[in-house]
Amino acid sequence: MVKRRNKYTDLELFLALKKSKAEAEMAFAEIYARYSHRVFAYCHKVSSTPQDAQDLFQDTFTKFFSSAQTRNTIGNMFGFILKISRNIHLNQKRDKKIFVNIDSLEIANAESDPKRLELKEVLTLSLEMLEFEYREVFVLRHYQGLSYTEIADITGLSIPTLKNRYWRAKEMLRTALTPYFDNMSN
Amino acid sequence: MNYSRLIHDYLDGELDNVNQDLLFSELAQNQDLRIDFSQQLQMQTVARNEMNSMAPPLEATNAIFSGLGFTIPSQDFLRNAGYARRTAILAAFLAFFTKNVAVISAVSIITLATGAGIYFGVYNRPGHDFSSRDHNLPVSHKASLPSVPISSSVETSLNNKLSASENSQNNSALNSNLNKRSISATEKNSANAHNYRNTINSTQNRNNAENTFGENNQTNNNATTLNVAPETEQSGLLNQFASLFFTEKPAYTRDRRNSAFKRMPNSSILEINAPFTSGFESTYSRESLDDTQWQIQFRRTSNQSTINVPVVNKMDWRENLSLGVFYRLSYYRSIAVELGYERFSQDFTYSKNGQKYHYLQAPLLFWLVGTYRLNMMDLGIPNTLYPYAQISGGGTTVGPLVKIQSGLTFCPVNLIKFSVGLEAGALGYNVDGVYRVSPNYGLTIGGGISF
Repeated sequence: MVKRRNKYTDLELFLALKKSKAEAEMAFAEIYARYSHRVFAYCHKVSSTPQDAQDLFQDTFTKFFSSAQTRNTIGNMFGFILKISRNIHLNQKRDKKIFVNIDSLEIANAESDPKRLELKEVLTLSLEMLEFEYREVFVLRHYQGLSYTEIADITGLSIPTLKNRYWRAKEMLRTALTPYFDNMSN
Repeated sequence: MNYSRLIHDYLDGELDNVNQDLLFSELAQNQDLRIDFSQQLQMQTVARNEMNSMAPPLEATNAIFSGLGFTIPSQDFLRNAGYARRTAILAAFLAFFTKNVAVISAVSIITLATGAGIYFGVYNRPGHDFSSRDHNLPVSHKASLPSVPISSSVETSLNNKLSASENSQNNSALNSNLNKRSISATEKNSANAHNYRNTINSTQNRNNAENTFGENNQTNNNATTLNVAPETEQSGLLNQFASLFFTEKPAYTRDRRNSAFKRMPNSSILEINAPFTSGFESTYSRESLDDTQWQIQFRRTSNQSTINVPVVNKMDWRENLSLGVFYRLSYYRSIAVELGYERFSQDFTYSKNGQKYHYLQAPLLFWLVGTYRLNMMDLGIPNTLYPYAQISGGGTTVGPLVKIQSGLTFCPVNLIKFSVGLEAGALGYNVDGVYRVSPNYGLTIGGGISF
């Protein structure tokens, strides 16, 4: 039975990962409880398939634990985990050489029946068609609600670039969602 | 004007007031723009709702924890994640403080020590200017009067306040007065008093032998020898240690369930059974991880000094005590403010009107220091028995004080800690423009309550 350790700060938990196995286990469980939902959401949104998302999610936390053994401090825990997840995803993406053409966005959407889909599902489908650089920013800002500063820390991009990409991603998604919205208005 | 972008910026929280007014005035009269607004708002709402309903699959959680060799937590545990309840500002401050704790602590200690040194020691303040005092008749034995911060080695009861010039002009009167001294007036002491220069130190007296009464100087001994008080002998380390563990002070523990303090059944640590056992049990459970941030510590140091000063009064338990308030920065590090009351041995000479006076005294002084402590949990039994090291810097009423200490911390129950260690300290003080150091060392034993 893992005991609750919710009085600890992220930094204290992070440092406890380097201690005895019992303390590391406790700290890891608490960190997992705090951030697994949001990390999984990120993995789910940036990955192409549910299986890829699950693999990315598992790799992220495993890599996070091993990274914690060599670090003495941490700023933003969630940002740190997302950065790990992003790097793993980019490596996998590079190895697999997955490319999605943005031009196929409308075609793919048109093929689906918007009447039978909820906005959530349509948005998810549309999101999968976006290039990673737009999808990532949209996910981090739109879904995760991170500040531009936090996103800049994770991605290494400037804030004006991030704002532009977010806007462009949203415009592309709205274009893809037009049939859905038209259908809804009718 | 791209109103769609303005809607985006507004929902993104990035639209300034001027453009907000512009957007809302346009929204009021543009139906298409209202539809645009509604669509963007729906996208945002859907995303947020989806986030709340998203959870990692159970098999992924199992795979992660199994892969790391950890126990798989329950779903109930994962659903009720907790966070340290701190405001953003406080969290940011603590994050900065924790990240830079070493630098901040070092700067604080150095600032404290330097400030105290400048204020008390470097400048020869009027209060410490011996030439402005009427103490022209130094004596060698102790001057433990707390009201006399540094210089007075003269017992106020002696009333031997003759000036040096008077002494030199009226040796017989002086001798008469000196001979009336009631304390430690041995024959040797009396003989020493015949020295018209009032030079007590044997070395000095030997140096001045030709200028003093030779017959008296033959029997002149170091004042330390004259006034050794047998009762000031310190008991051995073993006795010091044992006396701590058999102290009459009550010990308290706290029930983890209702936080109520209750007195331990026996004040002797060696005879504590239930709390002691529970402490060790807790060592090997996660419950043992100390949640507390603050600790109040009370300790006593059995001081020794390389400067041998006879102390007339027996050193009782009220001397060399200190009270500290510790704040835990992290699992390993703590900072503290400590206030203490300690005896410092001082040995110095002072010149006035071409005459040298030798002061040998051990005043009791208050001190205040900032402390940085490192708890080396990994080198012992974590949370129960582990070594520590600490450095302190601050000041007394006469000069800066630096202390280092190292020892063992024993935590039989989560809220009570005991420590045994060796401490070394150095008090700096300025006499007659010459900077001197009074070293102290000894065994320190203390206990504290965490909360």
